[in-house]
Amino acid sequence: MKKLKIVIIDDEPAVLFSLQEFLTEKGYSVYSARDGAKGLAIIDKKKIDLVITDLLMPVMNGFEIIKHLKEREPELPLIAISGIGGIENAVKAIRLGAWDYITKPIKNFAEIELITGQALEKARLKQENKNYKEKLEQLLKKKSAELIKNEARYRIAESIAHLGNWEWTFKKNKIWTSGEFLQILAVNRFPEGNFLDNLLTFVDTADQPRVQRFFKAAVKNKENFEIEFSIKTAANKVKNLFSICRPIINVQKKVIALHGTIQDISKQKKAEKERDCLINILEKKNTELENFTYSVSHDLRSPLITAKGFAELLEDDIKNNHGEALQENLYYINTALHKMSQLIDKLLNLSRIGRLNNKFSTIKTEQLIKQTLDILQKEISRTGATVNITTKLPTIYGDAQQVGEVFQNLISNALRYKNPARSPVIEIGHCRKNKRNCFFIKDNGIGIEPRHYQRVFNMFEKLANNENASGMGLAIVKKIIENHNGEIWLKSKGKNKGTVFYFIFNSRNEQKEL
Amino acid sequence: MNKKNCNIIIYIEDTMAHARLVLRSLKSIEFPGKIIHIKNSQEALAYINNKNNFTTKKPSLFLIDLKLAQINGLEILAKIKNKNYLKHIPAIIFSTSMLLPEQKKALKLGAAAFHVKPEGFSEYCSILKHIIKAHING
Repeated sequence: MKKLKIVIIDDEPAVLFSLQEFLTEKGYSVYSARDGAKGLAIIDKKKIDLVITDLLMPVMNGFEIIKHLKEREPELPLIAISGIGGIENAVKAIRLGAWDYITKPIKNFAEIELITGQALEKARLKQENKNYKEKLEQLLKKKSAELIKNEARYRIAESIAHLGNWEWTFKKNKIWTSGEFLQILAVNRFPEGNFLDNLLTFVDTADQPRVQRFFKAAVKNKENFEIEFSIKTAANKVKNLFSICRPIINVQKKVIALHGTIQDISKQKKAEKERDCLINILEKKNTELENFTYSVSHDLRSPLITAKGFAELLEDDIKNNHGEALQENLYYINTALHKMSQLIDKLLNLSRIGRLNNKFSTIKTEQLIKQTLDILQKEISRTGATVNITTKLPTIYGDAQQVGEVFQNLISNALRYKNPARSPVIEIGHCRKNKRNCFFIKDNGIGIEPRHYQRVFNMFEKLANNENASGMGLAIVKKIIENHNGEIWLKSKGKNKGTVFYFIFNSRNEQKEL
Repeated sequence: MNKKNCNIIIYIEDTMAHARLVLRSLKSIEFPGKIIHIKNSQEALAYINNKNNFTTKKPSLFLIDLKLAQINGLEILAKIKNKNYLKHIPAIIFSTSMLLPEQKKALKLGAAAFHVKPEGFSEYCSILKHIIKAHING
């Protein structure tokens, strides 16, 4: 172990000598100086651990040394030596900064040993203390820096995840909210006071009772909860939030606070909605496909049954010389085959819509309808129908051939399903429905019962048993209109009270072709 | 039991060709009874609803096409099974194709059987023979 260094300053050689001898023997490294200046020089040079100085000395007395050292090395322990009866001097020395004092004449060496030891121990403790303090400060600095860094990281993580945090301590309604929490609500600070009440001011009215219920249950049942709700932010933006909340419970098993998160899941919600929408469309297509298979299996088989049945009959009748029946057999076979080929053509036509499109263009509908009426002229004269265009007709955007087919199908339906008691009167016109161009074709024919409003658009569906009808016309019309993003519906006052078909072509000029 | 030639089949069918096939089959198998052919669903409904049609003589069998225009065969079947004076009479659904959901519905509504119209005259005859044996002479 390193020896501790002591310097003794005294103008009395006897004192110097006896102290030096004693302390050296006790294991210290001892330096001696006859006056203050020499003593300070030693202190400057050597790393002294303890100063023992006489007070009353010529040239530079002990008080001056104390003052001097107090300034330069305040941590250096110093013991004053005072003469007999010089207790005032000793007190003065201690006031100036001496740690302790011993009295002359030096006789009680045990006391000297004790005081020296105490002073040195105190210095050591002081130093140790100082070292600890420094270490602690360093550690604190390091930890603070880490904390600041971590907080920055936390903020970034919050912002990436759109995840805000909050804590509500019930005592005095103490509220803490994180940066992202405020960001999500678009506020600078969250108000003090009842957290739930303040949160509810952002929550959508429809969700408020549910949010309230969840909070109350969390406190009552001491249970976590997860909830989704919508809010309107301070910036008037609607957001979907997902929130998890955990009650904080004290030793008395009482809920004293709630801690929770809110996460902005608007994007996910939007994606979910889009997905649901797609599923819906898919389901609709699926149903359409099912209807299609149903219809094909049923309606294409019907003429087949007829043809095969009568073909076999034909064979029998020839064998049995039933000449009179041959005509009928052939008639049914021919009719069935004709019907079948018609159905197949219409099916092909239907499948072509949506797959093979002509270029969309602007269509002057008035002109188009006049052309259509020309095509139907024969049928119009045969039925004695009156067809009137009752309003001005707009220019629309779409597939001219297909749009023409819509008008042709609907007008020929109006002619076909006429009331047998009177000549058809057909009105074609245009009105505004929901700010969109809506066409209507009105007739005074046999009418459609409300329960059949949807069925008429199905494939092969015929409400009247008309041998000439394929049951495909309205299915094709509907498909074309869907192809133009439009809608078709109908109204009828019932049997023999006529029908009005309304339809909208919703395709826009800027829209890309399908 | 009455004499066999008193049996009446009420046949509801709006496809003329199919009706002709059934009538010719019945002739071919020498069905001794009477067949009343009703040519569309509206008429069928009117006929069923009129109790007077059934006071003197009740039919032995209803044979109903599934896919009739306007009111389909299943609806007619339901109406028959709703009438106290008709519900005990066997009713058979005659369909263009085998459609399992329709078959299920028909049987649930109380149809005695669900038959698919066959391809070929001789098969028509054998199906009708079978039906008559099972539901009239059985």
